[in-house]
Amino acid sequence: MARYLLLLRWLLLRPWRRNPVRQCLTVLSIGLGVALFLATELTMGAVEEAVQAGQKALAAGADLTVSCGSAGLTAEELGKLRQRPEFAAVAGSVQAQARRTDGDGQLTLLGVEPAQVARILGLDASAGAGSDLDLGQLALDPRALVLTREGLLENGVQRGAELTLLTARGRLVFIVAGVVDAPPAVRQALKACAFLPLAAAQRHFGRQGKVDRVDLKLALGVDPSDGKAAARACVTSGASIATPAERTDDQLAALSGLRAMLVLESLLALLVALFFIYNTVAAAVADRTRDAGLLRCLGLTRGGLRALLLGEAACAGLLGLCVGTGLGFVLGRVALKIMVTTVGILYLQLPPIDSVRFHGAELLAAAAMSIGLSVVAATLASRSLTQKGALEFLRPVLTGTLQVRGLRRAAWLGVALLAVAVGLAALWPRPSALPIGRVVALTLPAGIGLLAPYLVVQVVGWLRFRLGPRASVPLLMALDATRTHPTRTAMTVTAFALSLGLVIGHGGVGNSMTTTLQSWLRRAIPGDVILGASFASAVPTFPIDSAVLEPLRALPGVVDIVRLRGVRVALGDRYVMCLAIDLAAAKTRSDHHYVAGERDDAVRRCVAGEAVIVAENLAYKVGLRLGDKIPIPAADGTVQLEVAGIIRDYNSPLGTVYMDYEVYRRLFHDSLIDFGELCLTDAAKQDLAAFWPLLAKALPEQYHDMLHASAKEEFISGAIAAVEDLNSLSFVQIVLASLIGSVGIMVTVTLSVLARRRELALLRAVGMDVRGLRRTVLFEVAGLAAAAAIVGLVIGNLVFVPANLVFREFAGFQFDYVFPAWHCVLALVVAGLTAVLSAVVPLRRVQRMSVLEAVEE
Amino acid sequence: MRYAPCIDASHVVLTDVHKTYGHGAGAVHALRGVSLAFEPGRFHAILGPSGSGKSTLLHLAAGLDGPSAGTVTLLGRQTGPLDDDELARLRRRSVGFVFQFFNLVPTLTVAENALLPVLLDRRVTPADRTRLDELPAAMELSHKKDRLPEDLSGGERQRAAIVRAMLPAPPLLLADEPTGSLDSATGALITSLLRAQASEHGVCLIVVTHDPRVAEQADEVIRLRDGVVVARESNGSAR
Repeated sequence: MARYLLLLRWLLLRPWRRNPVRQCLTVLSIGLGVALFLATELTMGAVEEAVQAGQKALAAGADLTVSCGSAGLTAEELGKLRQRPEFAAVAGSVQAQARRTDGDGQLTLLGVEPAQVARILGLDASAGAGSDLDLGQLALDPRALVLTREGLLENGVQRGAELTLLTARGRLVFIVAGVVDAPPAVRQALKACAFLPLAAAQRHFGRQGKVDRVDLKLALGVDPSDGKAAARACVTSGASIATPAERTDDQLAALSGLRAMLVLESLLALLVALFFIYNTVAAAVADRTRDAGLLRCLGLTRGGLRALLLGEAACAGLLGLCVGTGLGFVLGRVALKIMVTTVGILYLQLPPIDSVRFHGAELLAAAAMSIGLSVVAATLASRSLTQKGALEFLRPVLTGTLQVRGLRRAAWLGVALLAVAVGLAALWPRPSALPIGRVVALTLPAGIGLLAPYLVVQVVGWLRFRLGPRASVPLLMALDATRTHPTRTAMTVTAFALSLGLVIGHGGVGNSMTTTLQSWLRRAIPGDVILGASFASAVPTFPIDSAVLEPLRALPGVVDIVRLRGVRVALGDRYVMCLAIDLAAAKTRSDHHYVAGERDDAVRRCVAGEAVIVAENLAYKVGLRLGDKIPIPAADGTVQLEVAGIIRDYNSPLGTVYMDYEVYRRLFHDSLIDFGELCLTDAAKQDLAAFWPLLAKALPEQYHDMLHASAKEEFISGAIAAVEDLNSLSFVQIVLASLIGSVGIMVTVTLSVLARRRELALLRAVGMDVRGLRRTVLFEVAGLAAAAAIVGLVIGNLVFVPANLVFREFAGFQFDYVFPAWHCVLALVVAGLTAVLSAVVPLRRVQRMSVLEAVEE
Repeated sequence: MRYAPCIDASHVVLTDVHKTYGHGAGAVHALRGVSLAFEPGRFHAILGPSGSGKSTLLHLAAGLDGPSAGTVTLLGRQTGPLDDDELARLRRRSVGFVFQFFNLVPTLTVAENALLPVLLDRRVTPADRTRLDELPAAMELSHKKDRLPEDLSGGERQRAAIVRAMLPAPPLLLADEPTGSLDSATGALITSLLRAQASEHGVCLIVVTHDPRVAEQADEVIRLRDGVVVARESNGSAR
């Protein structure tokens, strides 16, 4: 082993110092690929950990949790649960969102029984050991509130101080009655939580006689399934009964689409990196052919040579891993902020997350990827070298031998992959349990990537002989250089095309998403001014009482008001969004696209409380059709409502059920709203500046700090911005993939030109001037970049098809294709710039080349 | 597998060796029925015009290539039945190479280049270390042992190549145009150093050359033309 390492150091690693730029770029290619993968894993891992920690903290050691969406559970149900012998402990809680008046800090207020506080915090309920907590005061004082020590610091208050919070019920003043030390495992999750007595919370948030959830501790020896059955017998049929793990799984499942998309993009970036690792290793191998021949003459076996080359690749992979780990950590931290915001808007509110953390499994996967990819690339690249006999190195090399056999095989494989992709996309029945979209997303670009190089080489060959003596010598030399090194051409074109294709594809998908959503929002939103209980954005933070809207009806210019409430409800074994809206008022002002059903009839039946309208994505995922009945878990039990219409809708990836607001209020005993939409006269719409003061005056003062009013277009921009935030996250991935692509093409073009030093020197020897040489190099680089750009355009535009399939699989959404004109221009500019930059180093070297030295090499 | 000691007086024996490259009308007959024996302690020079089969003969003698017909026996073992790896092992333990263009590894110092064939085979022993002191001293390279090849003159590079070829103490030393890229004075020095390996250390030395001055130093001169041995001259008769 020591001998092997010494030889490795002497023969392969020491020469790195001779080509530091190339080695750095190779390591950087690997590192960027690893960084993308790690950043995705770290960010998603942190989000998932936060979800798990949050659930763990709130579950407080409970074995089962019962909830019933916004309908809540009644005191009667709570009482029934308490009487069951299967449960050792039963604790109800109320949950609400709040914000400090002096900043952006948000708090989750948990109304719990004092004993539950102790259980959540892992304290001895009788003593409150280690903490400054008076359970007695907490039980008696309706304004009492308890924070964790971290929460105290976060909110900048002291024990005994007043804490004014903005809530759904307006401004409320609390007193910090206690400070507790949370156990380390839930410290981060509880930093943004405050506890207050259950009775006080019920009063503050209008939940008298109700709780949002009930946590159950099973009696000794009771099986969870028996516990579930016992709980089921006590509560309404619509209630959800789950273990904390099941609840976490449900939330994590909602994030799986996002994770899949990001991981897919990082894998594509790694695929691009693989091509370039191959190219740089192949160039390095070509560089060392002479040394390898010498070593073989001196008695090195084929296996020994292979081991040395793979050892070198593993070293490059290891260095790439180190670089990638550092970069991945930085990227992960940057991406985390965007991810938390976006996930909060699109999926679920997350507890605060400070940083990302490495885990053994992620590092192991990254190590396997970086070292594995490098070794695979090196194995492929060095295959011809290690298969040669010793003598073959001593014979003169026949240049210009066209070896397209491998390319032809690759092209056939590409055709087969394309056939698979097209077949799956067009013929496979959907919805399917198989990840068809993801398979097509990988096979389609890979198929084109494998087929395109063969076509490029064939076209170049055709051009070469078609142009013949009519073309200039530099052009012919450039065509020959491209044609006679088909593997190098193939790898460069494929990798660069894939990275450009990613840019264009991402742009296309992003454009299609935003254009489709914008168009849908314009048609779907009935109001001209949208009011939401939010502190900063158009997306509501918490619901408000619908009574707030009543004074606004009398405002001049207000024609109508549409109330809107969105809650998550359990539909069988999945959660969906239930959107309650004043359908009759909305009908005349919105223009939903009905995929099935007739608008007037559907709205009439919904208003009558007989039916619901469902979103197309939900109908697709669950297989709903007109006339099907769906069970809605309401406050007084499950109500079966018929599907009266199916509409194109992008409200929620979970799927949306629309019902009339008044019907919802009756069924769920809930008079809160998330949005109030004011429909204005044309005159008022034209003069919104005059309308805002009137609106502010009409709103109760206590809501001034928290009600956010925005014009329809402003609201749409805010919603699109949230989507674009998500896009920007994956765009970072794409940009890095393109960077890998650009770096890779620079390396390979540089090496390709330098490898032909002798050939170019011969041209100089027979009379070609420096200008001619320069043109040869420029033609070659421009040709490669142009071929890559064309293939990239094809890949980038076709990739919309599998992307749409992936969206369909995860969210049931489908978007309309929009040509990504700007991204195509951007990709072409990147291709041009890369070509120019790629030519700089070889041009300088070629110009300085000593003809005699090069010929003698 | 270690190489078994020589059982024959000749280190390399070629018996009716034919070597043909290519097929059909395009076939090139590099050697046609060559039978030769190369003995230890003797300096064999192979002369002939370009295309006469000199290099092919050297490659066969080194076990770098196999004959199309006939047998090559290298240190008592026929090379024909050996696979590529066995030939590689045989080469690194028994054959030293000196090339026209030195072929030193540019990133290794003279001493590291010299140790390379040993390291490819086994650990470096104290005996190797002793030879690493002695051989450069004999070649007047002691002061340049830690230099890279780029810091050496042409003659010094070729002396370093001889040190590398001789460090594992191979019974067979092959040289392909060793003076081809050197001036005449340096060429003469290199030739005498090579000759010393045969006469003083009992090495079987085979040198392919165009240079009659190199051939003058040889114990035996073999002249090839069109793949056939046209003359074998011993000692003074070659001069």
